Amino acid sequence: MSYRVLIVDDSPAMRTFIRRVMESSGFELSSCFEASNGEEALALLRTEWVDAILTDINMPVLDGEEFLRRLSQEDMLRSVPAIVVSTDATKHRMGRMLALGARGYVTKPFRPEDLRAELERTLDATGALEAPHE
Amino acid sequence: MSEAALRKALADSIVETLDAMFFTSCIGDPDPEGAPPGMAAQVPFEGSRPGRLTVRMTARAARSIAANFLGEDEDAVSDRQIGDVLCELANMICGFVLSRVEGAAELRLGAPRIVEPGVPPAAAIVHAVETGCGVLEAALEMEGRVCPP
Repeated sequence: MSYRVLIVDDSPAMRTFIRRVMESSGFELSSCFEASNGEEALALLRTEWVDAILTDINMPVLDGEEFLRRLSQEDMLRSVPAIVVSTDATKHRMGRMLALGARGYVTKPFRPEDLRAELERTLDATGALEAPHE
Repeated sequence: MSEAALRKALADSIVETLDAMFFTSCIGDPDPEGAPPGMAAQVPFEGSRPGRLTVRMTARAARSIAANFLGEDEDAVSDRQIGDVLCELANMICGFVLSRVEGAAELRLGAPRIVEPGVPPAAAIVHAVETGCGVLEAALEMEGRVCPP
């Protein structure tokens, strides 16, 4: 069972860390795409299907909040589950992101097992765990 | 929020962030004879109580935690990667602390950037730890914080 995941974060180091956490915790990735902002992510999602998106909030060009808003406006993309991975742990921000359609929220700093658990919970809730991409 | 509470939030944020994501333990107070910080990253924030948080580290400690974070050997980590990781560390510590400040919903983090290490201003709340590879020091400057009488 393997999955296609998109990591959206303006920090190359954070993208590397998240990918490494997923790989080292036994999460099988058939493809791991990366984008440094929401605009890049939207462009990529128009050509590549993914099972889940992990996105930061504070990014240049198109931030995570606007990215989720735009995602929800596109028929082909609104069903792709997005998990927010952010330093912002305020209930106010969490509520806003969940209202925009985020399926999960992980605050930095996080432990590797926390990210994996949130990803599995989200994939399970959307049915992707039962029907992964080969 | 009292200065003591801010100081505790800063100390907790350093320990938790280093442990969870940089696989680095704080082993005590810094050695006063140790090497001074040679690198620094700063995160500004805006809102009702604007300010900035600066993380200073020795070059050796910065290389070590960057290698831990990226899962690379220390020799394989570039200066650019070290700077990127240091910015991310400052971002996480700042977010952790501000999330515990009253009225945090109104605070917005700016983009972290590498700055000259310098010396923290007298008004800053400072917490420093020894990582085993050198000192890490975080300094929080915030307008309107409550100071002890």
